[in-house]
Amino acid sequence: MLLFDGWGFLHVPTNVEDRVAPRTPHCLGRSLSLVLLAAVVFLASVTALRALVPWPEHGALAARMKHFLAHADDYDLLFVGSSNVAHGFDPAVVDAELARRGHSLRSYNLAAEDMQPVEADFVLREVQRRKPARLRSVVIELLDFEPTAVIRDNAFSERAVYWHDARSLCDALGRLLRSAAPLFDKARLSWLHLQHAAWRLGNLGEADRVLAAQRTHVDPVLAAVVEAGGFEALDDRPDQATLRMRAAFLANAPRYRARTAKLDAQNATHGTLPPGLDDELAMQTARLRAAGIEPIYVIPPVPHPTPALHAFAARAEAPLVFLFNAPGRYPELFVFEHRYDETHVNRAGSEVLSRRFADALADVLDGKHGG
Amino acid sequence: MLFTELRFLVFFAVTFAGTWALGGNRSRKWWLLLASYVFYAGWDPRFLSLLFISTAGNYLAGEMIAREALPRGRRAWLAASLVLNLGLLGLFKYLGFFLTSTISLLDALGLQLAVPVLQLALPVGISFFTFQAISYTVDVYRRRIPTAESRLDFALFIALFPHLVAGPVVRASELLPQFAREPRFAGVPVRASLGLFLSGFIKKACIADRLAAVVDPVFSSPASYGAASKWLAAALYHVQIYCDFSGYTDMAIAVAALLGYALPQNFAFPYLSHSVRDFWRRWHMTLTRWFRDYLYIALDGSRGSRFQTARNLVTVFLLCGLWHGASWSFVSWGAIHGALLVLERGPFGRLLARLPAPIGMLYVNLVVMLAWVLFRSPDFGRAFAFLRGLFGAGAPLPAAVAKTLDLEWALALPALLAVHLIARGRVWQRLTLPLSDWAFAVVYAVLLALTLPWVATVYKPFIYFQF
Repeated sequence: MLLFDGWGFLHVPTNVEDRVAPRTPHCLGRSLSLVLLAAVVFLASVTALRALVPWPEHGALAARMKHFLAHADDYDLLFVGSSNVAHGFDPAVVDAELARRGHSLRSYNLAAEDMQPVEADFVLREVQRRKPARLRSVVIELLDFEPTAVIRDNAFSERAVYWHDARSLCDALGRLLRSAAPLFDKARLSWLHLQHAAWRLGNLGEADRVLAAQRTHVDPVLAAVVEAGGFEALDDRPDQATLRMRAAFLANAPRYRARTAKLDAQNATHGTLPPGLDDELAMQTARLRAAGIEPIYVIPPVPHPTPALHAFAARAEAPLVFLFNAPGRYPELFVFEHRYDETHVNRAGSEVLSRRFADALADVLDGKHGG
Repeated sequence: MLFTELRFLVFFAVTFAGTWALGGNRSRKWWLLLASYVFYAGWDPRFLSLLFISTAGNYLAGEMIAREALPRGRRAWLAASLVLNLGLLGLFKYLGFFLTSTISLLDALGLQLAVPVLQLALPVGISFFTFQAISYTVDVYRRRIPTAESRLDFALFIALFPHLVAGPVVRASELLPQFAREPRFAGVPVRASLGLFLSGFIKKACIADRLAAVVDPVFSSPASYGAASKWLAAALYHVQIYCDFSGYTDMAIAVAALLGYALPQNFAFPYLSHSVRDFWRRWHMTLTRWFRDYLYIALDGSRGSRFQTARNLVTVFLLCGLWHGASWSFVSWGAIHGALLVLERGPFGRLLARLPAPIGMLYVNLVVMLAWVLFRSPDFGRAFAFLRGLFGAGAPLPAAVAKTLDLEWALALPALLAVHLIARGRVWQRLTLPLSDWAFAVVYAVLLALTLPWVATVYKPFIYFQF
């Protein structure tokens, strides 16, 4: 008689009458209890395994987060946000400028390319779980565009999956539902977020990264970046995509100048805050303040008008917001020599931006806040 | 919708709950039929119409065959059903291939033929549901089975989603009687089915899909790899295709069992066979028996002279190759298997029977593995480049440009052996049988949590879906 592959598990007789009755009678309550038990054990197991999964390599997040969490008690100030923050704020310059103004603070940059509000909030929650002893302020990029669209281009990448815990999923779905996106888009993106959350929940395909993390050779240049506050200027190690952005910028200089020239006037008009942003910022601020951390929101020197955010910053009850997309106030941040491309500053520009930020922060600390 | 996808999990949870929540056999079957159509539409809703045509046409043919008293009338209705089924298959699967081949042949003979070649999309699972439909009308014609009790039963026999797109190729006599009575949840082998599903999931998602990523580049560009890498890639594909297809079958059988229906087994440790003849008794068994029952026996099987038997075997395997894909490389793959079967009917087979079992296994694995090269290669040219390269033919590659496969992938071979031994030794049954249901729930949940991190995170469609 042939032994079938499946018989290690199952022998389903083709004659239905032959089936052997189970040992215990089935009843709905018992079945549901078994499913519930399995679900609880599964959740406990995947949560335990999750602790072994490293942070994403993309944007050098893994190395920087590992360093920050290991030395969290040494830092007073933390930056999170997109590439505009990652390549704009140099902790070494910020710390030096603050020291010159009499404030001995130490800062670290955990921002990364395309890090949007939901991801940034996840990073902050992970940092908070570590309960850093000295962390007093976090600098968060204030963005008003559709906050979860990034997974359209990066679906199922480790960067898109890792922040989809239950809270971030609810946050992302809430933002999506409140957004003005077409219904079909909302449904499609919601399903995409749910899939990402399921991937994260099950640690799908993470075994390779867990094993690789044990034997990864650390790039010495990256190690130096990690040690030096997590900052790397865009012109230090540009990749092909960055070089293309630079070439496009150089080829379209008149367009950039025209956009910059109109920016202050556009920011002065009235805009409408995206629905729910008020509440989200209020909740984030309350959560951080409950942990003794003061949020500082920034808009980096990008040539995009953000009139609604400017209006928001002017409100009396608003948290602290530094608006650097204001060429009238910060003309040096928009000069060609300080730009890498249309939206990013170069190393020289980052030094200027970091000093301006440190000055503004020192003003606040000294009680001379000008906003 | 693949069995390894999240959306299938959601789909199955809804289908499962609905199936067992609904009272009455008829409403359950309607529910399952609706679910099966939704499942098929998940691939491409346009091809649902094809499923409807096949269902309606074959049901009508079955009824008419049963009603006709005169043999001529019965034969006419059978012929009509064969024309319908083979016509659909020919139109969607083979028309482009035959036209292209004819044009190439005429071109070689110096005759230019300017005919536009239709490139129709291949409906998923067409080869499977067409073969099932043929088996129904032929069995009704042969008076081996009565006609389906209702249109609903017949539609569900054709479309039941666990077997719809990649088999097993189920006979009407296996499934229709099961539809006649209402399954009881108490009769469902839940623990065994869950174990079988997990086993299939591991084979497909954790082994086959991982190997695909390693093997695909070698078969796409064999010239870039040295002989050692080619041997390793061929061996890995040998593992991949088994894990892919038998993994799919395990999941299909388990899913059907959880819904209360038994599907036939499709694999019986084929790589432990001692001869190619034995291999075909163990590999894709439901397809083999289809070809045996509806083609080989119809051609008179092995009842004629040696030559006639050989001719029948080769014919069956040429068509078996063609069934797998509309290309000459599949036909050649079938021809090789047919030739080996003919060879084994002679002195070589008698010698093989006298040799120790491990030598027979080694022979089977070697020839089957080499034949898979034709099966896997995108075209004839690359298949021959691959095969030549296996034996060191061609100029050696400069070290700077040669790509190599990581030798640690050879661990997949012991992994395959482990899969075989675990299943063969009924390890799952031995370990889980003494457990209470509560302990089983805990063990299963932990195993699932430990399995998911090993899933290859790029979904690859099942290899057999293309047929």
